[in-house]
Amino acid sequence: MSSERERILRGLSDSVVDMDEDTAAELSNEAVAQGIDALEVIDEGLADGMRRAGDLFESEEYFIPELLVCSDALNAGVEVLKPHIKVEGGAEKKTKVVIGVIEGDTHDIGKNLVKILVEAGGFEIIDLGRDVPAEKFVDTAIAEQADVIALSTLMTTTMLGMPKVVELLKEKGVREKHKVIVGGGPLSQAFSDKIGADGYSKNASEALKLVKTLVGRA
Amino acid sequence: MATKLRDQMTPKERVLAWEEGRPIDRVPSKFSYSPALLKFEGVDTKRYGTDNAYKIATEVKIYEKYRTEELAAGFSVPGLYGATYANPEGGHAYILETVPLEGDDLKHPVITDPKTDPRLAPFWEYLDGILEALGDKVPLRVMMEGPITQAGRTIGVEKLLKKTLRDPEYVHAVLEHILQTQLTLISALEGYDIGFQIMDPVSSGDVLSPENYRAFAKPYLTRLFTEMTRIAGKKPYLHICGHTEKVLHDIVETGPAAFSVDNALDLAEVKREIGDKVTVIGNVHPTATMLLGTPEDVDADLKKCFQKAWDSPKGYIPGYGCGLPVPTPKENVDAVYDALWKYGRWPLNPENFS
Repeated sequence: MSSERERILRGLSDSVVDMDEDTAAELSNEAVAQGIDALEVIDEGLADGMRRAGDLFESEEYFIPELLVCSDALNAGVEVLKPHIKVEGGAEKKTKVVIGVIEGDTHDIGKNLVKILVEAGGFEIIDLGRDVPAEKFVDTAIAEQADVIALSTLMTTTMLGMPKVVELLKEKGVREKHKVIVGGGPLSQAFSDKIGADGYSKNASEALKLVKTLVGRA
Repeated sequence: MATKLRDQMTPKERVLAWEEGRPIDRVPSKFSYSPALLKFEGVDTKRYGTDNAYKIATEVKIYEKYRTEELAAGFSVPGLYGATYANPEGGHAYILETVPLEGDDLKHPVITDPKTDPRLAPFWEYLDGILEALGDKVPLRVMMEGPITQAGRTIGVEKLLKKTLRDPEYVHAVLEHILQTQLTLISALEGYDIGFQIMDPVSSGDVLSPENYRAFAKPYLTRLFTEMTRIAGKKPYLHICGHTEKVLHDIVETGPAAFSVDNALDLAEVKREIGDKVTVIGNVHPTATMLLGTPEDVDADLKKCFQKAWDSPKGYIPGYGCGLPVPTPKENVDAVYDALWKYGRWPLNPENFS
């Protein structure tokens, strides 16, 4: 049984790295049939594969297309497993990250990569999509009690929507409850410091490390 | 505070003389046109986007005040395929909805006669009007994005990228179709006194691997450039964002006259690698310097750019690394012009910026 479990989890991890949606779905069905806990299958199988893909991205063996297709394979497995996730007690509360592309900008590939890798890193992601007003980031973070707000933009013309989020958090008296991180082509650590954000990362793998550091899970 | 204009040549006289190696007053520059200037002048951006007469009058006013060194006119290729745009007040237009572009969509051209197609009527009206108003003084470059970027905007960049792995033949079919559309469009520009400029962000090394650049971006851009060069009688300018270190020599082989880089690259390195083959353009920092800095920072940034690239064998043209943010302070834009004269006075003298 335990070697069977290992075979399936290893196979799932490989299927993500190999960008093989069909195998990801098949092995997820096998896992369900074997009665393996769905959350464990996701974390130790599928998400493990995504973390390995993230490492390959960092070492420039994989590029954006590979990461996107790996993520498709992961999602094919998750779709099968979702109905079998046990929700009653015991499961630890995940740290929540609200993420989105700032208002006026629809370039969302960078945001999607951060989402994929941070999610694979064990965080719960609330994805607000693109062209998101500052108010929506703040309202969602408050309502969801999110620990981190992650802001993305590719455009020099829209980056000033970012300090608005920090200002709004201050106005509402909740600045210290939510860490704000920023990323995207035109940004820099200096910009992050200037607008009073809690951190900047220059790519998706660093974003995961940054989130872990900020919430004390490094 | 308005900057006193010191130019003794029109931008067109200057760039022509510079290209031919004749004496000039100062180095030509390419501080790209920006919505920031519209904001300084209190321009109604909605009207600017829809009313050609108003747009042309605005361009004339801006030229007289800021000596803008190039005029731009552009086509929307994704629009011809049915992609829809949003035009936010004071911002940049962006794609709202992409199109699937499957099966039969790729069997027929989306445009046959650019001159009579009603969708392009505003383009021709603007082109004729702006050339008449300023064409003798300022060079006009028809702006377009590279085939892979236009393909990405049309079908969605994520879809395009996934298909490079899943279905490369489909990607080639889309690229070929987009290229044919672009070739049809530019064929109608024969005989016009224009140049071309291509922006190609999707071909950036931050998006495409070198292998994918060579497979999906380079061949189509090369064919577009060949035709553009024939039509305009001169090679186009090219701008690609982000990290392009690994494909710099491939980029040169696509056939641009000049390559403009953003702040991911070091001008000295670009000069060393390809300065003997193309003019180098860049890369005053649009955010760290222009948006967040002071006039002193602007001066220092231009000085650094000149130090690094002034002696590039095929020439150096100062410009921003990317689009100027709308909220850039006006005094920083004025400082660009001052620094241009301080460091760019002809003949260039390294003592001025050492």
